[in-house]
Amino acid sequence: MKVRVFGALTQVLQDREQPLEHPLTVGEFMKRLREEHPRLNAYTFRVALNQKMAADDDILHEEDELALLPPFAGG
Amino acid sequence: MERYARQMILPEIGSAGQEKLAAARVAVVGAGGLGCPVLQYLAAAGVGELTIIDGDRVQKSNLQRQILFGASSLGQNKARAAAARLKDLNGEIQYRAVDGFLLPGMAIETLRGHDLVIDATDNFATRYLINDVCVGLGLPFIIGALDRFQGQMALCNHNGGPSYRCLFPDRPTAETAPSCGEQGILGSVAGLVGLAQANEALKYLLGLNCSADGRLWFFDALTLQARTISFKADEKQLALARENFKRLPDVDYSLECGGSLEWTAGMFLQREKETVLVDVRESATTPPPFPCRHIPGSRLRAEMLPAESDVLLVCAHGLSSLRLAVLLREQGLERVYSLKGGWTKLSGEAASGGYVAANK
Repeated sequence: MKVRVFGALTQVLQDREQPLEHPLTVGEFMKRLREEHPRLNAYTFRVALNQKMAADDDILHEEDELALLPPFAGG
Repeated sequence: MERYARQMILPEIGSAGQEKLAAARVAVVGAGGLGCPVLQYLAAAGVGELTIIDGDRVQKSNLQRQILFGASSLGQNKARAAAARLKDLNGEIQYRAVDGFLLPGMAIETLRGHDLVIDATDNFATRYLINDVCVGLGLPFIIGALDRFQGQMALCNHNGGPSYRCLFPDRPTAETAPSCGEQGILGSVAGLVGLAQANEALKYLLGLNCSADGRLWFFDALTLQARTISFKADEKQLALARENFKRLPDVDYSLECGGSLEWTAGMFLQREKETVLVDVRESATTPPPFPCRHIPGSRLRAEMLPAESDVLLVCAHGLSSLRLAVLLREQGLERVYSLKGGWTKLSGEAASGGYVAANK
Protein backbone atom coordinates (compact mmCIF):
# COMPACT_ATOMS: atom_id res chain seq x y z
CA MET A 1 0.00 0.00 0.00
CA LYS A 2 1.31 3.45 -0.85
CA VAL A 3 1.32 6.13 1.82
CA ARG A 4 1.66 9.64 0.40
CA VAL A 5 2.44 12.56 2.66
CA PHE A 6 1.84 16.21 1.80
CA GLY A 7 2.72 19.68 3.02
CA ALA A 8 4.30 20.18 6.44
CA LEU A 9 3.78 16.48 7.27
CA THR A 10 6.85 15.67 5.17
CA GLN A 11 8.83 16.97 8.15
CA VAL A 12 7.52 14.05 10.17
CA LEU A 13 7.54 11.21 7.66
CA GLN A 14 8.14 10.53 4.01
CA ASP A 15 6.18 8.77 1.29
CA ARG A 16 6.49 5.05 1.78
CA GLU A 17 5.50 1.64 0.50
CA GLN A 18 3.69 -0.01 3.37
CA PRO A 19 3.44 -3.80 3.27
CA LEU A 20 0.16 -5.06 4.71
CA GLU A 21 0.47 -8.45 6.38
CA HIS A 22 -3.29 -8.64 6.72
CA PRO A 23 -6.24 -6.35 6.03
CA LEU A 24 -6.37 -3.39 8.35
CA THR A 25 -8.85 -0.56 8.80
CA VAL A 26 -7.85 3.03 8.21
CA GLY A 27 -8.43 3.71 11.91
CA GLU A 28 -6.13 0.87 13.01
CA PHE A 29 -3.44 1.89 10.55
CA MET A 30 -3.53 5.54 11.62
CA LYS A 31 -3.35 4.57 15.31
CA ARG A 32 -0.18 2.58 14.60
CA LEU A 33 1.26 5.35 12.47
CA ARG A 34 0.71 7.88 15.25
CA GLU A 35 2.40 5.57 17.74
CA GLU A 36 5.35 5.21 15.38
CA HIS A 37 5.46 8.97 14.73
CA PRO A 38 4.04 10.79 17.76
CA ARG A 39 4.91 14.15 16.18
CA LEU A 40 1.94 13.58 13.89
CA ASN A 41 -0.26 14.53 16.84
CA ALA A 42 0.93 18.11 16.62
CA TYR A 43 -0.53 18.43 13.12
CA THR A 44 -4.03 18.66 11.70
CA PHE A 45 -4.77 16.67 8.56
CA ARG A 46 -7.33 14.59 6.65
CA VAL A 47 -6.78 11.04 5.49
CA ALA A 48 -7.82 10.14 1.93
CA LEU A 49 -8.12 6.62 0.53
CA ASN A 50 -7.84 6.29 -3.24
CA GLN A 51 -8.82 9.91 -3.85
CA LYS A 52 -11.79 10.00 -1.50
CA MET A 53 -11.84 11.10 2.12
CA ALA A 54 -11.48 7.98 4.26
CA ALA A 55 -13.63 6.79 7.12
CA ASP A 56 -12.01 5.04 10.09
CA ASP A 57 -13.65 1.71 9.29
CA ASP A 58 -12.67 1.65 5.62
CA ILE A 59 -10.56 -1.45 4.95
CA LEU A 60 -7.09 -1.10 3.41
CA HIS A 61 -5.75 -3.37 0.68
CA GLU A 62 -2.34 -3.88 -0.93
CA GLU A 63 -3.15 -1.88 -4.05
CA ASP A 64 -4.56 1.14 -2.18
CA GLU A 65 -3.13 4.60 -1.81
CA LEU A 66 -3.51 6.47 1.46
CA ALA A 67 -2.82 10.21 1.46
CA LEU A 68 -2.28 12.44 4.50
CA LEU A 69 -3.56 15.91 3.63
CA PRO A 70 -2.98 18.91 5.85
CA PRO A 71 -4.69 22.21 5.08
CA PHE A 72 -2.38 24.77 3.46
CA ALA A 73 -2.43 28.36 4.59
CA GLY A 74 -0.20 30.28 2.19
CA GLY A 75 -1.54 32.69 -0.38
CA MET B 1 -16.25 42.62 -29.23
CA GLU B 2 -12.77 42.39 -30.57
CA ARG B 3 -11.27 42.18 -27.10
CA TYR B 4 -12.82 38.83 -26.29
CA ALA B 5 -12.89 37.39 -29.81
CA ARG B 6 -10.41 34.62 -29.08
CA GLN B 7 -12.55 33.10 -26.34
CA MET B 8 -15.89 33.77 -28.01
CA ILE B 9 -14.89 31.57 -30.94
CA LEU B 10 -14.93 28.60 -28.59
CA PRO B 11 -18.28 26.83 -28.97
CA GLU B 12 -18.39 26.34 -25.19
CA ILE B 13 -18.38 30.11 -24.75
CA GLY B 14 -19.74 32.13 -27.68
CA SER B 15 -21.50 35.46 -27.16
CA ALA B 16 -23.88 33.88 -24.66
CA GLY B 17 -20.94 32.90 -22.49
CA GLN B 18 -19.36 36.32 -22.81
CA GLU B 19 -22.61 37.91 -21.62
CA LYS B 20 -22.58 35.62 -18.58
CA LEU B 21 -19.10 36.86 -17.73
CA ALA B 22 -20.11 40.47 -18.24
CA ALA B 23 -23.03 40.05 -15.87
CA ALA B 24 -20.93 38.36 -13.17
CA ARG B 25 -19.79 40.01 -9.92
CA VAL B 26 -16.82 38.33 -8.27
CA ALA B 27 -15.18 39.21 -4.95
CA VAL B 28 -11.50 38.33 -4.58
CA VAL B 29 -10.28 38.33 -1.00
CA GLY B 30 -6.53 38.89 -1.07
CA ALA B 31 -4.44 40.54 -3.78
CA GLY B 32 -1.21 38.67 -3.08
CA GLY B 33 0.46 35.61 -4.51
CA LEU B 34 -2.84 33.96 -5.42
CA GLY B 35 -4.98 37.06 -5.80
CA CYS B 36 -2.80 38.71 -8.45
CA PRO B 37 -2.99 35.94 -11.06
CA VAL B 38 -6.68 35.36 -10.28
CA LEU B 39 -7.53 39.02 -10.76
CA GLN B 40 -5.41 39.36 -13.87
CA TYR B 41 -7.16 36.54 -15.70
CA LEU B 42 -10.68 37.34 -14.51
CA ALA B 43 -10.23 40.95 -15.63
CA ALA B 44 -8.75 39.91 -18.96
CA ALA B 45 -11.67 37.53 -19.60
CA GLY B 46 -14.22 40.28 -19.04
CA VAL B 47 -15.82 39.48 -15.68
CA GLY B 48 -18.17 42.44 -15.28
CA GLU B 49 -17.44 43.48 -11.70
CA LEU B 50 -14.41 42.69 -9.56
CA THR B 51 -14.23 43.56 -5.88
CA ILE B 52 -10.67 43.44 -4.55
CA ILE B 53 -10.20 43.18 -0.79
CA ASP B 54 -6.77 43.57 0.81
CA GLY B 55 -5.45 45.73 3.65
CA ASP B 56 -1.76 45.13 2.95
CA ARG B 57 0.78 47.47 1.35
CA VAL B 58 3.03 46.42 -1.52
CA GLN B 59 6.57 45.52 -0.46
CA LYS B 60 9.62 44.70 -2.55
CA SER B 61 9.61 41.05 -1.49
CA ASN B 62 6.09 40.76 -2.97
CA LEU B 63 7.29 41.53 -6.50
CA GLN B 64 8.80 38.08 -6.93
CA ARG B 65 5.31 36.60 -7.28
CA GLN B 66 2.59 39.26 -6.97
CA ILE B 67 2.69 40.09 -10.61
CA LEU B 68 0.21 42.92 -10.72
CA PHE B 69 2.67 45.14 -8.87
CA GLY B 70 5.89 46.89 -9.79
CA ALA B 71 8.24 49.63 -8.65
CA SER B 72 5.48 52.22 -9.00
CA SER B 73 3.22 50.25 -6.61
CA LEU B 74 5.64 50.03 -3.68
CA GLY B 75 4.08 51.31 -0.47
CA GLN B 76 0.57 51.47 -1.94
CA ASN B 77 -2.42 49.54 -0.70
CA LYS B 78 -2.60 46.30 -2.68
CA ALA B 79 -6.33 46.53 -3.50
CA ARG B 80 -5.93 50.04 -4.91
CA ALA B 81 -2.67 49.23 -6.72
CA ALA B 82 -4.24 46.12 -8.26
CA ALA B 83 -7.30 48.05 -9.43
CA ALA B 84 -5.12 50.73 -10.97
CA ARG B 85 -3.06 48.17 -12.89
CA LEU B 86 -6.14 46.21 -13.99
CA LYS B 87 -7.89 49.32 -15.28
CA ASP B 88 -5.13 49.58 -17.84
CA LEU B 89 -5.40 45.89 -18.71
CA ASN B 90 -9.18 46.08 -19.08
CA GLY B 91 -10.88 49.42 -18.62
CA GLU B 92 -14.22 48.08 -19.82
CA ILE B 93 -15.19 46.37 -16.56
CA GLN B 94 -15.96 47.69 -13.06
CA TYR B 95 -13.57 47.57 -10.13
CA ARG B 96 -14.16 48.15 -6.47
CA ALA B 97 -11.05 48.31 -4.28
CA VAL B 98 -11.57 47.70 -0.55
CA ASP B 99 -8.53 48.99 1.33
CA GLY B 100 -8.82 46.77 4.40
CA PHE B 101 -8.76 43.20 5.58
CA LEU B 102 -11.91 41.10 5.53
CA LEU B 103 -13.05 41.12 9.17
CA PRO B 104 -16.06 39.82 11.09
CA GLY B 105 -17.44 43.33 11.42
CA MET B 106 -17.81 43.98 7.70
CA ALA B 107 -17.50 40.63 5.91
CA ILE B 108 -21.20 40.13 5.28
CA GLU B 109 -21.82 43.55 3.70
CA THR B 110 -18.58 43.29 1.74
CA LEU B 111 -19.28 39.87 0.21
CA ARG B 112 -23.04 40.16 -0.18
CA GLY B 113 -24.29 40.85 -3.68
CA HIS B 114 -21.60 38.86 -5.49
CA ASP B 115 -22.05 35.69 -7.52
CA LEU B 116 -18.79 34.07 -6.51
CA VAL B 117 -16.09 34.63 -3.91
CA ILE B 118 -12.42 33.74 -4.37
CA ASP B 119 -10.44 32.94 -1.23
CA ALA B 120 -6.93 34.13 -2.05
CA THR B 121 -5.98 34.76 1.56
CA ASP B 122 -2.98 33.59 3.53
CA ASN B 123 -4.34 32.66 6.96
CA PHE B 124 -6.83 30.24 8.44
CA ALA B 125 -8.81 32.80 10.43
CA THR B 126 -9.91 34.56 7.25
CA ARG B 127 -10.52 31.28 5.44
CA TYR B 128 -12.98 30.16 8.07
CA LEU B 129 -14.61 33.60 8.10
CA ILE B 130 -15.10 33.44 4.32
CA ASN B 131 -16.53 29.95 4.74
CA ASP B 132 -19.13 31.01 7.29
CA VAL B 133 -20.19 34.15 5.41
CA CYS B 134 -20.50 32.30 2.10
CA VAL B 135 -22.47 29.45 3.65
CA GLY B 136 -24.72 31.99 5.36
CA LEU B 137 -25.23 34.02 2.18
CA GLY B 138 -25.54 30.94 -0.04
CA LEU B 139 -22.50 31.92 -2.14
CA PRO B 140 -20.16 29.49 -3.86
CA PHE B 141 -16.48 30.14 -3.18
CA ILE B 142 -13.19 28.89 -4.53
CA ILE B 143 -10.43 28.20 -2.04
CA GLY B 144 -6.76 28.21 -2.92
CA ALA B 145 -3.70 27.71 -0.77
CA LEU B 146 0.04 27.16 -1.06
CA ASP B 147 2.70 25.22 0.81
CA ARG B 148 6.20 25.50 -0.67
CA PHE B 149 5.93 23.59 -3.96
CA GLN B 150 2.38 22.32 -3.48
CA GLY B 151 -1.05 23.82 -3.83
CA GLN B 152 -4.69 23.17 -3.06
CA MET B 153 -7.83 24.41 -4.83
CA ALA B 154 -11.52 23.56 -4.62
CA LEU B 155 -14.95 24.95 -5.45
CA CYS B 156 -17.05 24.96 -2.27
CA ASN B 157 -20.70 25.46 -1.38
CA HIS B 158 -22.02 25.02 -4.88
CA ASN B 159 -25.56 23.63 -5.16
CA GLY B 160 -25.54 22.11 -1.69
CA GLY B 161 -21.95 21.02 -2.10
CA PRO B 162 -19.50 20.79 0.80
CA SER B 163 -17.81 23.77 2.44
CA TYR B 164 -14.26 24.47 3.58
CA ARG B 165 -15.21 23.39 7.11
CA CYS B 166 -16.51 20.11 5.66
CA LEU B 167 -13.06 19.62 4.18
CA PHE B 168 -11.01 20.75 7.17
CA PRO B 169 -13.25 20.73 10.24
CA ASP B 170 -10.45 20.61 12.78
CA ARG B 171 -8.69 23.72 13.97
CA PRO B 172 -5.25 23.72 12.29
CA THR B 173 -2.32 23.82 14.69
CA ALA B 174 0.42 26.36 14.21
CA GLU B 175 2.85 23.73 12.93
CA THR B 176 0.49 22.48 10.26
CA ALA B 177 0.90 25.36 7.86
CA PRO B 178 3.43 28.14 8.17
CA SER B 179 3.06 31.17 5.90
CA CYS B 180 4.83 31.80 2.59
CA GLY B 181 6.94 34.38 4.41
CA GLU B 182 8.10 31.78 6.90
CA GLN B 183 8.86 28.91 4.58
CA GLY B 184 9.23 30.42 1.16
CA ILE B 185 7.46 30.05 -2.19
CA LEU B 186 8.45 30.07 -5.84
CA GLY B 187 6.45 32.59 -7.84
CA SER B 188 5.53 30.10 -10.53
CA VAL B 189 3.91 27.82 -7.96
CA ALA B 190 1.74 30.66 -6.66
CA GLY B 191 0.93 31.47 -10.27
CA LEU B 192 -0.09 27.91 -11.08
CA VAL B 193 -2.49 27.67 -8.14
CA GLY B 194 -3.92 31.17 -8.65
CA LEU B 195 -4.48 30.35 -12.29
CA ALA B 196 -6.23 27.14 -11.25
CA GLN B 197 -8.58 29.27 -9.18
CA ALA B 198 -9.19 31.68 -12.06
CA ASN B 199 -9.72 28.77 -14.42
CA GLU B 200 -12.30 27.15 -12.15
CA ALA B 201 -14.00 30.51 -11.58
CA LEU B 202 -14.41 31.09 -15.31
CA LYS B 203 -15.75 27.55 -15.80
CA TYR B 204 -18.24 28.13 -13.02
CA LEU B 205 -19.43 31.46 -14.42
CA LEU B 206 -19.70 29.99 -17.92
CA GLY B 207 -21.65 26.97 -16.72
CA LEU B 208 -18.90 24.55 -17.77
CA ASN B 209 -17.97 21.38 -15.90
CA CYS B 210 -16.27 22.27 -12.64
CA SER B 211 -13.91 19.43 -11.89
CA ALA B 212 -13.05 20.89 -8.49
CA ASP B 213 -16.69 21.09 -7.37
CA GLY B 214 -16.60 19.35 -3.99
CA ARG B 215 -13.22 17.92 -4.99
CA LEU B 216 -9.94 19.12 -3.59
CA TRP B 217 -7.38 19.58 -6.34
CA PHE B 218 -3.99 18.83 -4.86
CA PHE B 219 -1.03 19.82 -7.00
CA ASP B 220 2.70 19.19 -6.65
CA ALA B 221 4.71 21.58 -8.81
CA LEU B 222 7.91 19.56 -8.41
CA THR B 223 6.50 16.32 -9.79
CA LEU B 224 3.68 17.92 -11.81
CA GLN B 225 1.40 15.34 -10.23
CA ALA B 226 -2.14 16.33 -9.40
CA ARG B 227 -4.89 14.53 -7.57
CA THR B 228 -8.54 15.43 -7.09
CA ILE B 229 -9.89 14.11 -3.85
CA SER B 230 -13.62 14.25 -3.30
CA PHE B 231 -15.02 15.34 0.04
CA LYS B 232 -18.58 15.25 1.33
CA ALA B 233 -20.85 17.82 2.91
CA ASP B 234 -20.87 17.50 6.69
CA GLU B 235 -24.18 18.67 8.16
CA LYS B 236 -22.58 19.46 11.53
CA GLN B 237 -20.01 21.73 9.90
CA LEU B 238 -22.62 23.45 7.73
CA ALA B 239 -24.78 24.04 10.81
CA LEU B 240 -21.74 25.47 12.65
CA ALA B 241 -21.10 27.85 9.76
CA ARG B 242 -24.72 29.02 9.77
CA GLU B 243 -24.63 29.54 13.50
CA ASN B 244 -21.42 31.58 13.28
CA PHE B 245 -22.97 33.59 10.46
CA LYS B 246 -25.88 34.54 12.72
CA ARG B 247 -23.53 35.50 15.56
CA LEU B 248 -21.27 37.71 13.45
CA PRO B 249 -19.48 39.96 14.25
CA ASP B 250 -19.15 38.28 17.65
CA VAL B 251 -17.11 35.29 16.50
CA ASP B 252 -13.41 35.05 17.37
CA TYR B 253 -11.72 33.56 14.31
CA SER B 254 -8.27 33.79 15.86
CA LEU B 255 -9.31 30.70 17.79
CA GLU B 256 -9.42 28.86 14.48
CA CYS B 257 -5.71 28.38 14.61
CA GLY B 258 -3.37 27.69 17.46
CA GLY B 259 -4.51 25.45 20.28
CA SER B 260 -1.06 24.35 19.40
CA LEU B 261 1.07 22.06 21.49
CA GLU B 262 4.03 24.35 21.01
CA TRP B 263 4.66 27.82 22.34
CA THR B 264 7.29 30.03 20.85
CA ALA B 265 9.77 31.77 23.13
CA GLY B 266 8.06 35.04 22.27
CA MET B 267 4.67 33.69 23.36
CA PHE B 268 6.10 32.63 26.69
CA LEU B 269 7.87 35.93 27.35
CA GLN B 270 4.66 37.86 26.75
CA ARG B 271 2.53 35.74 29.02
CA GLU B 272 0.61 37.60 31.68
CA LYS B 273 -1.00 34.57 33.21
CA GLU B 274 0.87 32.31 35.58
CA THR B 275 2.74 29.57 33.74
CA VAL B 276 4.26 26.56 35.45
CA LEU B 277 7.66 25.92 33.87
CA VAL B 278 8.97 22.36 34.01
CA ASP B 279 12.50 21.46 32.95
CA VAL B 280 12.24 17.91 31.60
CA ARG B 281 15.91 17.33 30.78
CA GLU B 282 17.26 14.09 32.23
CA SER B 283 19.95 16.09 33.96
CA ALA B 284 20.01 19.87 34.23
CA THR B 285 23.55 20.22 32.98
CA THR B 286 23.26 23.96 32.51
CA PRO B 287 21.20 26.00 34.96
CA PRO B 288 17.92 27.11 33.40
CA PRO B 289 17.56 30.87 32.86
CA PHE B 290 14.16 30.98 34.56
CA PRO B 291 12.85 29.62 37.87
CA CYS B 292 11.22 26.28 37.18
CA ARG B 293 10.59 22.79 38.50
CA HIS B 294 12.92 20.03 37.37
CA ILE B 295 11.27 16.67 36.62
CA PRO B 296 13.34 14.45 34.28
CA GLY B 297 11.16 13.30 31.38
CA SER B 298 11.65 9.63 32.23
CA ARG B 299 9.98 10.21 35.63
CA LEU B 300 7.30 12.64 34.52
CA ARG B 301 3.68 11.58 35.07
CA ALA B 302 0.46 13.50 34.50
CA GLU B 303 -0.44 13.39 38.23
CA MET B 304 2.68 15.41 39.08
CA LEU B 305 1.40 18.44 37.16
CA PRO B 306 -1.36 20.91 38.01
CA ALA B 307 -4.38 20.53 35.74
CA GLU B 308 -5.61 24.07 36.42
CA SER B 309 -2.58 26.02 35.17
CA ASP B 310 -0.77 26.28 31.89
CA VAL B 311 2.25 23.98 32.10
CA LEU B 312 5.18 24.59 29.80
CA LEU B 313 7.66 21.75 29.34
CA VAL B 314 11.18 22.74 28.38
CA CYS B 315 14.17 20.70 27.31
CA ALA B 316 17.37 21.69 25.55
CA HIS B 317 16.02 21.99 22.01
CA GLY B 318 12.26 21.42 22.14
CA LEU B 319 12.13 17.88 20.79
CA SER B 320 11.78 15.62 23.83
CA SER B 321 9.54 18.17 25.53
CA LEU B 322 7.21 18.01 22.51
CA ARG B 323 7.09 14.22 22.66
CA LEU B 324 6.26 14.41 26.37
CA ALA B 325 3.60 17.06 25.79
CA VAL B 326 1.92 14.81 23.24
CA LEU B 327 1.91 11.89 25.69
CA LEU B 328 0.56 14.00 28.55
CA ARG B 329 -2.19 15.38 26.32
CA GLU B 330 -3.18 11.80 25.53
CA GLN B 331 -3.35 11.17 29.26
CA GLY B 332 -5.89 13.94 29.60
CA LEU B 333 -3.80 16.99 30.57
CA GLU B 334 -5.16 19.67 28.27
CA ARG B 335 -3.08 22.63 29.32
CA VAL B 336 0.38 21.21 28.79
CA TYR B 337 2.61 22.74 26.13
CA SER B 338 6.15 22.41 24.86
CA LEU B 339 8.59 25.25 24.33
CA LYS B 340 9.58 25.36 20.68
CA GLY B 341 13.37 25.49 20.42
CA GLY B 342 13.85 24.71 24.10
CA TRP B 343 16.17 26.54 26.50
CA THR B 344 18.48 27.32 23.60
CA LYS B 345 15.85 29.45 21.88
CA LEU B 346 14.52 30.99 25.08
CA SER B 347 17.91 32.15 26.27
CA GLY B 348 18.54 33.68 22.87
CA GLU B 349 15.19 35.54 22.86
CA ALA B 350 15.62 36.78 26.40
CA ALA B 351 19.16 37.98 25.68
CA SER B 352 18.10 39.89 22.57
CA GLY B 353 15.65 42.04 24.48
CA GLY B 354 12.51 40.01 23.91
CA TYR B 355 12.38 39.62 27.65
CA VAL B 356 9.94 42.10 29.10
CA ALA B 357 9.45 41.34 32.77
CA ALA B 358 10.70 38.89 35.35
CA ASN B 359 8.80 35.61 35.40
CA LYS B 360 6.08 36.17 37.97
